[in-house]
Amino acid sequence: MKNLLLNISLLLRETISISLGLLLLLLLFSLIRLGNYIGDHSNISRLIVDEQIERAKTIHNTDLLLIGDSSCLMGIDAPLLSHLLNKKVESLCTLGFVGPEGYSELLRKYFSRGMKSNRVILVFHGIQMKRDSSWQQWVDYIKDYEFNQNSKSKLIHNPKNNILLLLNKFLFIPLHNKWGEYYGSDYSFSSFIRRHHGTAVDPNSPLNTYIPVGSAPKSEAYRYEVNQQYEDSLEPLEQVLLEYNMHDKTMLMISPIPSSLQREQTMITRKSAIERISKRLNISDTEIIDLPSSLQARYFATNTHLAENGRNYYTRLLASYFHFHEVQN
Amino acid sequence: MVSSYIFYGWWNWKFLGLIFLSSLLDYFSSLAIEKFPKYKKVYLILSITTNLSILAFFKYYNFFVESANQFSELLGLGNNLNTLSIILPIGISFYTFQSMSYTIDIYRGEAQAERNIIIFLSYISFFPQLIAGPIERFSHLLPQFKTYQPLNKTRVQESIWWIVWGYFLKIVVADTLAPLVELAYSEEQRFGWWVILGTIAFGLQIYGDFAGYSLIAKGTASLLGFDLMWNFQCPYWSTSIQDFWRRWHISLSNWLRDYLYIPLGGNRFGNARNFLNLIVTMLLAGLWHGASWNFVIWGGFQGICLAIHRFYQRCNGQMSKMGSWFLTMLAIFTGWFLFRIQSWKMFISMVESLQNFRWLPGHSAALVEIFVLTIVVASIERQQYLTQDMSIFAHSSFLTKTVVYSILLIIIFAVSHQTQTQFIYFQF
Repeated sequence: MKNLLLNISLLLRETISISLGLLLLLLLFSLIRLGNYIGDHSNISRLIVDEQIERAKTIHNTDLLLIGDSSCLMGIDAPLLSHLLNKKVESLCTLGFVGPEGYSELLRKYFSRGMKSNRVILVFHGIQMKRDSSWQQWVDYIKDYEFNQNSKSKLIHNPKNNILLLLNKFLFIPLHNKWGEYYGSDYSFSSFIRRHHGTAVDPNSPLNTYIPVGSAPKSEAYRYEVNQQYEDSLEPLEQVLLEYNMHDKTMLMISPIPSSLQREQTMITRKSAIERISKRLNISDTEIIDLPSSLQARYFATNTHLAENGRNYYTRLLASYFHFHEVQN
Repeated sequence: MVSSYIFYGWWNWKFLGLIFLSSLLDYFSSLAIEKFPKYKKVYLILSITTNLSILAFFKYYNFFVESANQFSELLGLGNNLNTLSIILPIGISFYTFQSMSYTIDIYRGEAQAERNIIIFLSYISFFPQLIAGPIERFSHLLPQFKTYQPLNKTRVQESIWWIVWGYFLKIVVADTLAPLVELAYSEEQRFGWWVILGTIAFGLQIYGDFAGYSLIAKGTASLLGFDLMWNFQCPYWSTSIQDFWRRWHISLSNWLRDYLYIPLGGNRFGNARNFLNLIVTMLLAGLWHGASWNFVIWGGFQGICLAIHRFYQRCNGQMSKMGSWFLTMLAIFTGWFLFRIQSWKMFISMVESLQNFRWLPGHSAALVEIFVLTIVVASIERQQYLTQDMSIFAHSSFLTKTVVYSILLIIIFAVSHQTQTQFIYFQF
């Protein structure tokens, strides 16, 4: 018993300095706040939205500001476009779930800082036009983002979160599936978006693997359907554009779909959707970017996202359009 | 002994009987070897055969059945044998070898058989090293059960360092690299850089995992008054394959040398026989690691590398230290690639992907982690290697220790729930 007590006291004496040092470090890390550690490595959507919110609060004046859904995020190469036009191009594109009301919030965060842009390019895919009420959580998330950040301004923070934020640059916890294979970790993915002016590559991309034209299975005709919820969500966007005097500097483009999905009915519904949206946003016909409504299937990673080769091709098409129509200014 | 049996039984109490009976067999066999020297060979054969039969059944039965079925299918004879639903008892490879080494040593007259059954059972089942080694020799560990080793300041300092550094290697190095390795080793791998980065990461992972465990075991045993052998001695600083196997999983290497390689003839019967002995020994070493052909191939590869090295030595080959180190690491990590492969399809896919060396953002992220972890581990190991002191921070000043240990522990604490993987060597 005596030996046991002696051993325990010896152990305690040796560990006491370590314990004190550890407590001190934990206290230090609990008194600072380095940011918000998500820790959810499967939530790609949240990573995208968070990154674009932060960028909306930090990027400077632009010549062209892209905003829209993931067809824009993955389908337009902003650095390439910038290089081809010799203009400053930034993208705040996110997801279809965010919708026009969510895009308006991002624009508000950008413009309310006193930042300016020569043009706002709205890039919408048909998939977002049939809006679901459950998507409203994304709009609320963007609206409440700063409030939630500030409400975390307590005296004592979670030290583990702070330490993980520091270590996050070095830890490789891959995103799921092809996202992890292409981008690695969430930090790496966010860095990529930042370095590429707010754009990204769809990792499910076949990466230039050639798929013979016509090999895509026969599909039903794609239909553009604008529902009332979507149309209602255009109003806040219109208001923001008016508020920051961008209403006559806004252009609209509809992202392409695989040609295998396009039929005559597709074109009719597309035209109708464009008319409804442009009317709601007071965008004139001359401000509607007329690029091909469809591209060959080999340019696509999914039905909504262009592959890397398609992204390159489509960006060059867009640059050519701007050059041709001399709308840089 | 009681605590060790409780520890083992906590995993699955049903296998307590197996370790107990296996231990009893060797206890009585050894006593019989001493008491009846005329029949000592019989008792030795009985002990080894029974131990290996138990190991073969639990670990290799399904492997041999599946291999036999595949072979007979190849010959057009169809599937004739059924596999069984067998649970591999944890630690069986380790305690079986430990137990056999005892019996063989008694047979060789290198030690006297232990009469105290409690001490003997404690030696076989000693919980810090029961599950994943080191495979302790009777002459080193068993006497320690008979003498009380009081704790002193040095011992406590060293033990704490081993445990903390062991946890760092396991949780921060091994566990954080595990997702990277899992991503790289895929049957649909398309990118050559993932193969290379994944293999480097696996080499670090398996080292962090196993060396980390061994250090924790050594530190824990030390706090209880027991000294376990060193199982790793900075193996990635080796400048030859022979040197590597003197630094990596030392207890197994020593066991194979003493109970397999030397009895086969070692290097006593010329070059050809020597090379054959090396290859056979390492083939069986590979098989010991797991019931799968990739482990056997890995073992064979290691044996061939050892044979080549032996041949090179005999030709008085000369090479710079850096060159030797590089070649050694190339051989080791190529071996790790074979070790980690889980299927023929994976092998083909990963080899084919070596035609595509496109660099992705993910590769940069992976490289950063590998680089940072390598620098941290290498910095500490370099000091250990140069000073031959494996307890480098244990004897530092109060301030140095406080800072170093606190930083290590806080990183362990922060990272600990991000990824959790089982100890790799628990599956052997």
